[in-house]
Amino acid sequence: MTPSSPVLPEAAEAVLPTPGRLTDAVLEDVVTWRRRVDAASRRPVLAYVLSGVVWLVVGTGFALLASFKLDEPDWLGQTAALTFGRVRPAHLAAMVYGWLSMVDIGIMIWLWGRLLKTEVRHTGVLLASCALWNVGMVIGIIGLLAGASTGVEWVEMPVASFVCIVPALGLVAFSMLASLRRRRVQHLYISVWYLGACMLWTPILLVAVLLPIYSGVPHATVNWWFAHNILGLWLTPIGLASAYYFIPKVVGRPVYSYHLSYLGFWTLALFYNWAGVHHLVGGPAPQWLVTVSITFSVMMIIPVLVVAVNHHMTAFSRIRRVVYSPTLRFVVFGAMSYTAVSLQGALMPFRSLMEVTHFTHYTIAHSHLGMYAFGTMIAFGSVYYILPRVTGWEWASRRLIALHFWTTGLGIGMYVVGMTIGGVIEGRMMNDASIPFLDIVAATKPWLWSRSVAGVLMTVGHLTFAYLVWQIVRHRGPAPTGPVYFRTPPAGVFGQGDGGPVDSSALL
Amino acid sequence: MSYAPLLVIVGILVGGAAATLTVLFRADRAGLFRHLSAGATVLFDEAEPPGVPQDQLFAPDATRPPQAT
Amino acid sequence: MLTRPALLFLGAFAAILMSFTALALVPKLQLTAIEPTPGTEELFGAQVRGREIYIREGCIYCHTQQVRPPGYGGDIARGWGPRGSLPGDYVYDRPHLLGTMRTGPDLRDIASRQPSSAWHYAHFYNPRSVSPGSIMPPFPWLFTTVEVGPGGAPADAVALPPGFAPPGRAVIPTEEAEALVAYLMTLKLEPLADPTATE
Repeated sequence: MTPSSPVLPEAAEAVLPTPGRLTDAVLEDVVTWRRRVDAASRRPVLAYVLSGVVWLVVGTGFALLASFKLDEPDWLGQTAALTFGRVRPAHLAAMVYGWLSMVDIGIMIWLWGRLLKTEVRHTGVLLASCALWNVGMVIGIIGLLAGASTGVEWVEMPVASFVCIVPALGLVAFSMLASLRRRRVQHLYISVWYLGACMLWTPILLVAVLLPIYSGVPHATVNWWFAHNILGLWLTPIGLASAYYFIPKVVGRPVYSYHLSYLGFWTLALFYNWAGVHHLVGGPAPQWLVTVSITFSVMMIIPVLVVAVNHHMTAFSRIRRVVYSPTLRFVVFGAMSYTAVSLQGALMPFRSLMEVTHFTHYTIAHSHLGMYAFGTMIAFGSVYYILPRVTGWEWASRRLIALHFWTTGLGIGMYVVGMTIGGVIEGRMMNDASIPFLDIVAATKPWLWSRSVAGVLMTVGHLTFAYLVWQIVRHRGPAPTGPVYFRTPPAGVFGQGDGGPVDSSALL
Repeated sequence: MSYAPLLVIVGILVGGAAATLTVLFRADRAGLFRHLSAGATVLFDEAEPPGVPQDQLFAPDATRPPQAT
Repeated sequence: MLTRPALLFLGAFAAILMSFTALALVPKLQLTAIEPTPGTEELFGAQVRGREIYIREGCIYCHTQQVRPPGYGGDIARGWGPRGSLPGDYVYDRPHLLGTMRTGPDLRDIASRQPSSAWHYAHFYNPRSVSPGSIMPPFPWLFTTVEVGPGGAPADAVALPPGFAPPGRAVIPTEEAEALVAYLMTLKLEPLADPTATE
């Protein structure tokens, strides 16, 4: 798909500055529009990314607590605030609304400026929204540990917390809309579609599920319509938008089959929404509703394959680059995980399969494959690209980045494999009525232990990442002489002037 | 057992499919489906053509960020 | 003529509106007209408090409250209920507590299966006292302890196997423990007079 000439009329037009925000100084060096856009988004991006990293560490602490407590249930058993039933929703909230949502907003703000080739507007409003969101998170987490849960999965935090978060989201949308109106591009790249749509969908989702008008089985269908969509219409679009930007950027090639990406977007928008009730297979929800959800879940294969073709064919043209580029390595890991988790999700909800896996640890493995192996790893890769450009510094240590990658990559691999196997064992035993329940618990214990081990690995990765982020923001470490790669790439791979021949022995 | 909700669902799906197809036909007639792949190269431009990422700091020929405020 | 972004937002909005209508509003409209099944009643008094405690302690993260239909999964064969759950069982549930994980057994019919409050008190104080090998967390804050005097333990003390109560002390359920057990005693599935009424 490489065009014969790199200069297209559209691209050249986009580079010319329009009168207004950019000063005449930019006329002397047109290339620095990227630097100016990055500089304008610096403070809101850093605010959201740093907040996200703090919640990542907090959420990781809750994760370890929860996992260890299933291994040793009497550990810290006298403390009400740390009981499994409170720590588990605190972990979910800290990771979904704290870490992933906030770091994704930081990534989104940065991408928005780059994709629209304009400075982000109303950075003050964005900073205020970040503060408000953090206030909401603190209220929420403390509330959960104190026992003030709403009892509705995925929105357990007290309503007061969402009263902060939903308006914060609205403020972000306001800023993004203002920037959209001042865009300097003719064409809205596919990432803009995903980001714009998710900003529309998410407040609707949150408000709809928090309305106090439900009870009984309808409450369950709304609950799972929401929970499934917060994954597919909030976190997935940002992950996909990032992958659609960073893979072509680092690989240096346009997306393989770009016209397919429109099909991918619209089939996601139209099909994903309907799949949520597959969480209630075998339950008291009306059966035709469950069947509709199963059907749309299977139809999700279409957008998943589209995205897979685009991401993997683009990346695989220059796949060697994952050896060098931290961004590409994390993002490709995430993109491949997206394909895996979505194909698994499309083929999972059949009643015969669900008879075994429903209510087991298999579901937890699947959700972590999505939220972590896809969402979190792409967020890591995006941050590795974005932070140097907004801080004006470079990462302190390639070895620590490598440590981060291997601990988190192996950790999530172990987690998913262990919990999948444990879940299938659990489910099959549960369907055999002659097996006493406590025997089932005993059979899952080794797999729960393996999850704790995986969790420790991932914790090491997260602390390493937090340390690296801290170092780069504070401009610590040796003065940068070039981008940080895992190994020195040969000349010409990433621009001119990059080091000499590859010497794999010396540099890790 | 009332079939009304099922009919509502089927109605929504059929109506939605009809609306979608109409939109697609109209868009095609408006020429929106030509040059679909042109957008893929928006990420690149004169200064950063495909194949050679230039968007880096601190390489000898990279563009420096403006002084941080 | 609509501009591109406007079309995008309109389409996205239409997409979510359709699914919300189908998956949330339509079930709500259909199922609010539904009659509660026999044996399904509003909670009152301590039972309401007990349900709040159930939510507070996060019981839903390990326990479901839905019995799968006969022949699907092993629920009925396990004795978890006389029949599959129906929408009419949940008419007064606000919020719903269907649950999604069975690290512990289903509780929809626990009152039939385990009506002994003495067992539940011991189980809540420390699950391993009555279920060896259980990984359920203990809930000692639902209890107080008193010194065991020369007259022996008080009459309302929880009956625990040796080694589980603090040495020289007896464990007494608080109002919260009593409320929680009162709530569990409402979790009962009555068999239907007409089994063909299941959906």
